[in-house]
Amino acid sequence: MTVAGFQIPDRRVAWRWARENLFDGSWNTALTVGMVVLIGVALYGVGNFVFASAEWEAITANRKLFFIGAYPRDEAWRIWAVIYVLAGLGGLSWALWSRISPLLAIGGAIAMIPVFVFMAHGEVALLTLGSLAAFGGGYAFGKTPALSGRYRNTARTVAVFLWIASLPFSWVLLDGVPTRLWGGLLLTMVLTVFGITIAFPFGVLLALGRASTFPVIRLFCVGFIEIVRGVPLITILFMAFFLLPLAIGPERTILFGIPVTGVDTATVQRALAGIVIFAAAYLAEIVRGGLQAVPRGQTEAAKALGLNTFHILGFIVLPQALRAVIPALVGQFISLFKDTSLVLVLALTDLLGAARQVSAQPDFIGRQAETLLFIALIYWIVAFNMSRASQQIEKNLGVGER
Amino acid sequence: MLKRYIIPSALWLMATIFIVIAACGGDDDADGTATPTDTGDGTGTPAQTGEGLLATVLDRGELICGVNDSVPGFGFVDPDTSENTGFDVDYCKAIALAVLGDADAVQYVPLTADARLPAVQTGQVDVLIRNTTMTVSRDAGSGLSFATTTYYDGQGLMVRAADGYTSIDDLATATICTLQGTTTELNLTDRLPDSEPLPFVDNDTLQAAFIEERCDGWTSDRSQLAARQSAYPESAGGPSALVVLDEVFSKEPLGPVTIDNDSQWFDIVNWTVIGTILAEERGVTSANVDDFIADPVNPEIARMLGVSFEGGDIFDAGLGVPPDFLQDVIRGVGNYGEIYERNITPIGLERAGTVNALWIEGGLIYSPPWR
Repeated sequence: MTVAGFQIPDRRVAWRWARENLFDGSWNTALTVGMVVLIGVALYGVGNFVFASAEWEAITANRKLFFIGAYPRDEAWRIWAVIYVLAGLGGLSWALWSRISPLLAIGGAIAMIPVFVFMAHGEVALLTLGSLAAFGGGYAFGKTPALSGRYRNTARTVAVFLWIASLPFSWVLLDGVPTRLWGGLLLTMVLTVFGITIAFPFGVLLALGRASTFPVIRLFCVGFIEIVRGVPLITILFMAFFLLPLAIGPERTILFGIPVTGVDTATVQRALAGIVIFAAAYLAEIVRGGLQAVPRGQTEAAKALGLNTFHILGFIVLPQALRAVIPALVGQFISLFKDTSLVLVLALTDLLGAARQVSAQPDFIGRQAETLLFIALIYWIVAFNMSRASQQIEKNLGVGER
Repeated sequence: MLKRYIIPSALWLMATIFIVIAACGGDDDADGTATPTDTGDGTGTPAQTGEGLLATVLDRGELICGVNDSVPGFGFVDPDTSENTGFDVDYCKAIALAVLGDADAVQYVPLTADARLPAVQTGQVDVLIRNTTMTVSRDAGSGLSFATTTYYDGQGLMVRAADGYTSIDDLATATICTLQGTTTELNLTDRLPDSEPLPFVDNDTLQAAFIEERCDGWTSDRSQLAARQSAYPESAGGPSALVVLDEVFSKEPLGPVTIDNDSQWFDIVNWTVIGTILAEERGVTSANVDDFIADPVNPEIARMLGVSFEGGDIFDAGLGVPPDFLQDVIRGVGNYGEIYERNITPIGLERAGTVNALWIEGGLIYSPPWR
């Protein structure tokens, strides 16, 4: 048995270990006792709050507000459809790529049981369990002999296209309800997922443009990155909210089929645009770091083999560059996920906005300790899973091993 | 050599041009739509049909109403239905009923204190009903118009009962908790120049500090103090551990706000509010409005409800909405008293004897004649 690196064969030795490490001398003994008392008091305080004095009814009565905001109950099937599709795709991808058994995923699902206990009322609990089943179904499908054998590479290509297609699919499906009604965890996740996936390609382009030898492109990219990085996100959000309508007018403006301004629908899109602009500039600098880590000889060798610019970037430079910066990228993604809570200043009801609304309800005035603790738990679960996923990807790609 | 640069830069330019074209091309209904400011000539002449916010709202079939989502009693989100609810929200419904005849034809836009006035100025909301105080600079300088006040609030001071303070002057040199960046902070310095303000960003942190006795007094709008008092935690002594002192040392008349220069729209908002007050004065409620429609016992009730009195003509005030618009309003949200009782009484603010009582009962809630 090993505890924090110390060998502890049996209880007698454990006591000796404690005496040598925790109680050697009066100063260390006093320190140990003092810390135990301090930790005990803190644990008692937290435990007393969580199990005795907290009124969790503030959370349970507002389950819907926390998770989907004002999204109508009758239309919630849209969200479930998206969750099921993504869960199925996730299971399939796990089977196609991961070298690790799905036990880890199941472990993660079990870790979320406390949240589901809060959520447990009839159909929601059943539908949540169903999404786990969809994940399992996708996994089983990916593990069928044909897909894990002969057609594995084809299946992987198809899966990548499905992932890309799932984004517009999700948006269109969710958009059956006006975006102004999106809220809670749903809005937080929409802003995060779409913010990351739209900003990432722009970030790569900006990084490549900054490394370009063509002055116009380089200056544009440097200017964009430096200007955006010099402005706080909250300012960009305010500008998207106040300046866009003044510049374009309050009427609806449609860009690529998505309304970007207009009184009725556009606050979420405008916030998303602000987040994308902000994140792209930061991602560009991270990617540039990766580009600089790729030895020049790689490009020269590729050129010598007669590859064109796009092939050099796509097959030689970018894979190495991005692999080198995965930890920094995921760190940026996690911080973007938490930064989405700033849309509160636009009076959007994201997870934090929901908490603020709950502590203003006449029945739950001032119950913000409960609501903040609850959303902190949700934020942590999501951020922790993002971090785990990045470690998994690093392991699969063998970062640090080659 | 040059060729290496030309192709990527041409691609780049094409992409940029494409995006710009797409942005402009999508803007297909920008022309031909009336903007809110091109209506009326400032003399109060009703706008022609097809112009102004009335036409916009009728076309859209929905009222866009700027509200608060975190003030108990006035505007908050109901946990059961997760819908906006409260005193201010009921007035959004009243206007929607007046114009569109449907209380649910409202889009609520929650607005922060900073965002609320620009939202009216830029036309993002048709009307703002979000506990906004009427002041001369907001009315004159900001391109906004304030309709009849729906709630007369005022700044008060709350203390712990055990401390034995009886008047505001007792706290001349005390530490007083306030909210950051509000007029209450400025009013406090006017009233008690020697006191020490302790500002907080929101009421929840302020309450925590007050319980820890970091300040002797707590100043805010009296409606908010009452809401906080009624929900004061039992662990800190419950509501009876607090006293709101009698003196009110600022005036905060709260009412709907519309954009300047759209007098027709302003009149509709204004007279919808007045209609709910008159209905209370005349004893017309959501329960008995149909009886009054069948038998309007006096001429003013007949004019108000847009029905004929003893065979006479139906009175049309020329607001631009059907003369019987108040029927829907009263049936849907009730009169002023009903709206008050449904939303504000539950947070512990009694109405009798305050400025928010009807004028015939000694308050300020007063309706001009309906003729």
